[in-house]
Amino acid sequence: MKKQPLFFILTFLILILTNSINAIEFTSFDYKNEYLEPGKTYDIWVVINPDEEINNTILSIVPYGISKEYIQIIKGVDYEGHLFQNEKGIGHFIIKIKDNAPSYDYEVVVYCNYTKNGKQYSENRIFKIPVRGEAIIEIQNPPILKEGTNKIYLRITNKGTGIAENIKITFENGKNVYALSNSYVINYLKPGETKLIRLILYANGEIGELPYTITYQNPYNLLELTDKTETDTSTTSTYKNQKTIEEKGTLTFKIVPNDLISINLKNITYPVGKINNLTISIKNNYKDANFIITIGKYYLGNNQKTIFIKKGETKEISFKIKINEMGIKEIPIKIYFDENEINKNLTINVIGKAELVLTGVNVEGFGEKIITGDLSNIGTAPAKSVLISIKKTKNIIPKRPYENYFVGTLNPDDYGSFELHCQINGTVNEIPILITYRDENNNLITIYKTIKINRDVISSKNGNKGEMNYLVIGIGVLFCIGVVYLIYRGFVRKNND
Amino acid sequence: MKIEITFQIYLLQKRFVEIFAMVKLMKNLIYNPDIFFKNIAKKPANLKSTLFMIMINSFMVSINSILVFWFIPHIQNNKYFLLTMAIMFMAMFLIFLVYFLILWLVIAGISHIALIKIFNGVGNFKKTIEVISYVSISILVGLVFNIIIQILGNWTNTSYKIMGAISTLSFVVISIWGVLLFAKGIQYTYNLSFKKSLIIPIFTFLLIVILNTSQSILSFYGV
Repeated sequence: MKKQPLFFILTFLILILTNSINAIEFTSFDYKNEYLEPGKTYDIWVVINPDEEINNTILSIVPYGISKEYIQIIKGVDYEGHLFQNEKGIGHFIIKIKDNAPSYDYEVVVYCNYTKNGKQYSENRIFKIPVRGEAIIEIQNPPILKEGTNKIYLRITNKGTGIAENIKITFENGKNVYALSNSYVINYLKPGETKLIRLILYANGEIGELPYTITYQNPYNLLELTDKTETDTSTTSTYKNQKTIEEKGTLTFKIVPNDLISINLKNITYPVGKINNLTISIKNNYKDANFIITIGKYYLGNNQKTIFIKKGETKEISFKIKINEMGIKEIPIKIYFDENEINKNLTINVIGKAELVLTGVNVEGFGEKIITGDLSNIGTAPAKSVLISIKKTKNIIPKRPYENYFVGTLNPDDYGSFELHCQINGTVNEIPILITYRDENNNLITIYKTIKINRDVISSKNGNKGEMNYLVIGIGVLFCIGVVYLIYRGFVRKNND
Repeated sequence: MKIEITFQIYLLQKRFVEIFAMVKLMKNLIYNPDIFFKNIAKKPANLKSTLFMIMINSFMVSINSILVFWFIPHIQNNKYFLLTMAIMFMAMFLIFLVYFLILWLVIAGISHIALIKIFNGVGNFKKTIEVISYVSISILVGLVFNIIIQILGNWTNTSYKIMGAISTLSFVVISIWGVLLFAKGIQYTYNLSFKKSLIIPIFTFLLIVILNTSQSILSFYGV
């Protein structure tokens, strides 16, 4: 008998609870789908069954917890009013699952407020809303194919909110474009994820079309209610399963000739440390277009130039470059034209070069000329076995032992003195000088230079100022005649007399 | 004061008269050497004019020589060009002064001894020197002409060949004139016939030509 008071209390409590709370019963919560999809609007019906007569019945739906972020209530309150005992009340709500809602079993609370015997009551119950996102697969292909075999990457992106599984892409033979392997399989693709398919295509013609079929699966049964019949006793629903999706499409390519442009360098060797013109000739095999050419290194001033080249035409474009190091150098070049970009490296050879100049040259003497001066290397490479000599001509005869002069090796910024002798006959304005040396590769290099001599010293110039010459000659002759006259007058005439 | 000024003017007038007399003499020498040397032979020896002629000769030869350097190209670019030229001129002037003095003494001495010993002439050594100084007038004329030709030729860019030819031609003519003048002078100084007296000047002329082996313009007139 010890347990009697406890049993009594429990029975009493249960009586109180059942009496006060279970005045109404939530009989169904229906949204006509197995799963809800993000981005869609759904009607929700909540059916209640009151045990007693109730008044002022108001049904409302409120998202709960994380659902507040992803479920938007469009119509959240429904007024039922007075309900008799066992009279079904149906509340209609409209909700929208937001686009970005991840797949999850969201929860909503349905409240039922009513008055019974002049007192207000509120009852609630939590319902689950299972949201399952649908995968949306998008295929992106590069717009341009070259003629012949192309290795391209297809971008497969899941733009939807659900995971896609067992993705299979099958290509058929298309117009102008042929895929060398037919089908590709990707295991899964998460929402927002992109995977690449390496594809080998053979293209020929102008515009290519490649039809494809893609099938993929949602990981759950995406059942959509298509038909529902209700009788007094049972309800029959017909669903369409959207678990496996098959889509067809066509990839479109623009096919361009294989060698769109050919790039050539006019000169591949350049002297070090000097400002040079890098001349690039571009042949356009593609179509009339504006070419934007950019070089990435060693440039002076402008490194980007635009040039219009017609189809089939070759044009040259020059950049100023300066390279301070010797050796093989690469200049990156970028060419943009008509949505194409070509990146290439131009290889050039930068070499040092000896450059010999005559400095402080002095020419002395009347008949025999003595030429003295310095031979200076203002270049960037040494000159070996430098020999300077006078070139023999009809009027210039080199004189031993100074017909040539061995200067030796001249390093950059070095100089060596020389002395040359020659005999000059007749009219000579300049003395031709021959300089030979060996460069770093032992090539014999010959330079011709001339040393100008002042005309007043040597040349006998006639014609240009001939009249003035005649004046001088005239004066001379007159003077002589005058003196002869004086001799005649002073001696000859006197004797005769 | 007045007397002093008058005296000064008198002196100046005397100078002018002297110069006029000199010019008249020179005119006679050029136009009528026969009369000129006849008069000279009668007068006593006058070495003043000889000294004067030596100075003028040296001066002219120096100018003639300096012109050769003057017109060498590139020399004019030198910073001290004018100073160098002035110093060179002074040096040349002094050298030629001594040179002429010795040369004339030698020529006069040889001529004098030769004339007395070989031709039995009767004459004065001082007179011979004076005669040589007057003969040098002809060379002076040649020098002046040569200087003018050099300046003119350089100014008009005339070639050296033409100038050389003109110089040589003038030298030949002047030499003939000089030889004749010298002969005339000897004729009256030593009381010889003109043909006999011609031998010594021609000999002297040939000697000078042989001595001056170099053929430059300078050497012709450097005599």
